[in-house]
Amino acid sequence: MAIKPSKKKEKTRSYRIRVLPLTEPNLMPIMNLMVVLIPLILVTSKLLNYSVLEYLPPPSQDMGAAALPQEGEAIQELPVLALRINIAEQRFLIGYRVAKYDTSFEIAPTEMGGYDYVELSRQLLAIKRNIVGDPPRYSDAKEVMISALENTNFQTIVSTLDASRDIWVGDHRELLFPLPVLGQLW
Amino acid sequence: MTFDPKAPSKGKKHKHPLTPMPKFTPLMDMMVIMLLFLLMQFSATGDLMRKAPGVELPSSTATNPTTKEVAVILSPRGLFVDTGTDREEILARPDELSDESIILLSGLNNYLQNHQKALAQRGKEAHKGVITIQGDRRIPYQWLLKVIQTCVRNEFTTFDFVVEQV
Repeated sequence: MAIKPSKKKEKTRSYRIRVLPLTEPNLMPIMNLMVVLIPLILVTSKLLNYSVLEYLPPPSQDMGAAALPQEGEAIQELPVLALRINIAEQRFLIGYRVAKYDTSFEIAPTEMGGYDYVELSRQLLAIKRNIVGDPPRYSDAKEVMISALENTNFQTIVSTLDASRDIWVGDHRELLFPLPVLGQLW
Repeated sequence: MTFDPKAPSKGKKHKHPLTPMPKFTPLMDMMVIMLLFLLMQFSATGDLMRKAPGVELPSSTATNPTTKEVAVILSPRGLFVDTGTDREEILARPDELSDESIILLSGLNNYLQNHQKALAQRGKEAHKGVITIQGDRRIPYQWLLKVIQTCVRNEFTTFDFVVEQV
């Protein structure tokens, strides 16, 4: 003779079957993956601080020659400014040609004895505004010949390229002479 | 002995309390957002550049994204191929770079010519004439000019100097 379970027991069993406890999916493996991935990306993101400084030498074999004008016949008729920056020891020598006369001046070193890149940019801005003008009065209005001694370090060259490319004026960057030509002083 | 109705039963007394599990869902949300943000930052910039060990890159205000077509490393230890790994493939030694009688660097010249031949054999288009140089900030200018001259001779006419953005 089978014994019928009590109503109380039946009720409890049915309760256990029907209502399942709410469980979250196991996120631990995904968490572990994230914990590994994020530091990895953060470490490699240090590389994002790198950029490139582009240099396009003139098509001519002669590094000293001005690049060929690219904006048609009208540009060819314009005179040549032949702006040059000579990187001497701790100072810059700037030179250019106006009405067939060569003009040159020197930028003295800073009080600390280093190259004065800020003053270089200022002087180039003055040349750009007062001599080159807008529209440009010279065929090589974007070019600058940068020459240095053979033992000049690469950082000095890069900083000079930066100083001659553009300058912050107020809240915007003003382009100076973005097409450099590298040469060597003997 | 009095009976306390509020006192827990013997069974409950011996029951171990459940350890509370932290809620991972908000943490997961935060991690996913961070991951997506970082990945987007990666895709927004140019080619991934690996700084060569022992090279102190110059600092610059240039903001152009990095590219990597043909890449070389110019360090005080000489000129190397940028293999992207720790393997070193030397193209010119410091004495060759400093020698005033040498104008063209034979090692670099051969490497660039072989690169062009390899491209032709694989049926790919000729290179775009872009060379990436990781130059150490201390290297003398003379070394750089030699590299430029050799590259120009091999029809590489655009030089991307890798710099640390300031």
